Amino acid sequence: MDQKQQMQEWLDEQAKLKSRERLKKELADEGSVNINSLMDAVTIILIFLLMNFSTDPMKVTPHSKLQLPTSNTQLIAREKTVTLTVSADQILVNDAPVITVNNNEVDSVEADKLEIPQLKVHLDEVVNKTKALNAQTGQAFKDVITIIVHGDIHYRLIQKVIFTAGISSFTKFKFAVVKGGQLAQVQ
Amino acid sequence: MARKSKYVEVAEELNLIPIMNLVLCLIPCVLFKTQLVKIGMINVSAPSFGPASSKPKDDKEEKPLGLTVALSKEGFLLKATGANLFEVLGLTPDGEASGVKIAKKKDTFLSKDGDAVELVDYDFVALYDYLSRIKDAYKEEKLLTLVGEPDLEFKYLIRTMDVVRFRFESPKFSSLKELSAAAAQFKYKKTKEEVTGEDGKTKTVEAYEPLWDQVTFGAVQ
Repeated sequence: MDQKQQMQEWLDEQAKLKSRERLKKELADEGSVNINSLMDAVTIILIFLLMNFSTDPMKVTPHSKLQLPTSNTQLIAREKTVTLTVSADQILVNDAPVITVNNNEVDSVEADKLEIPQLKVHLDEVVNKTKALNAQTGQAFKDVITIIVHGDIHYRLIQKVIFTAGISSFTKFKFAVVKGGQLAQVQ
Repeated sequence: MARKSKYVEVAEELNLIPIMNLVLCLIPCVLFKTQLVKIGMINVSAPSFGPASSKPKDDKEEKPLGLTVALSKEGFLLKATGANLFEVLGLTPDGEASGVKIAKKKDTFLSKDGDAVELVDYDFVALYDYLSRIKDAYKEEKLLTLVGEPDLEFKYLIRTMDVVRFRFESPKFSSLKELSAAAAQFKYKKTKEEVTGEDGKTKTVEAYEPLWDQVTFGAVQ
């Protein structure tokens, strides 16, 4: 009788173990993540990004302090040039901060003077470096400068920036704008 | 009686994880080079307040027109050093006016939400009309100087440049909405131009007819 009972207990235990293993196996199968839908979403994102892939030599990321004016121009940047950015709070040459702009004014410059000395120094440095590099490769220096201006900047400051760029041997000016927008649209 | 097979074929799912890893690595690379805003360029000639031009002066006795469009808080002011614009445009001078004034005008604009709002803004329609009439009288002239008030926002100069550079198909516009639509759809008059290529051969290409395409900035007065 005892042997029979022991046998029964052993059989019950084995049945329990088997059923637990089966349950474990079933749970493992159901728990695997199906990444097909994720794969679809990622592929769509990749295609969208590839469609907007830019090979432009100039890249501008507008932000609250650098909202470019809109224009219906069809010209695009074809070559890499020296860039001069005038945002609401600073002036940058080739993305390097040069001087702080405070309320559409450059602090260290007198109101009636057109030249911005700090900017002139930086532009001269850039011109000299570019000329030295070009001399090594046998290329001529291109006196083209791309000016990226925040749309709300006052004309007085733009005039000073252009004047300073002009005396730093730049004679051709290109203004960066955002393509699109309409005249009959609130700016 | 046919025997039922003991084994059931189970179609295994494709392991997409390596591809997924690759795609996820690609996304930041592409994202870095993606520009969601289309950037355009506007060429501006060397400003008149800059260093002296290296170009030799023409020996012609004919005085250049020297057309200037000044932007102020009141509107546009058209001036020319080489001509009387009142005569050219057939207008009667208003007292001792220094130039032809185009006052700001109330018009319907589209807000950023797409709603129509009435605003007082620059009269681009009248400006285009006057500038195209001046161009008819001075076909060889191309240079236009833009001058703004010291505290005028730069975006208004860019908007003005959109109107002055090329001649539209339509000679006149009745509203800003019409002019705006023509500019947005590039409805410019086309002309044929002879261009010498890098190989030295001359080709005839179709281009937009310029109005005042050499724009420069002048000094604040």
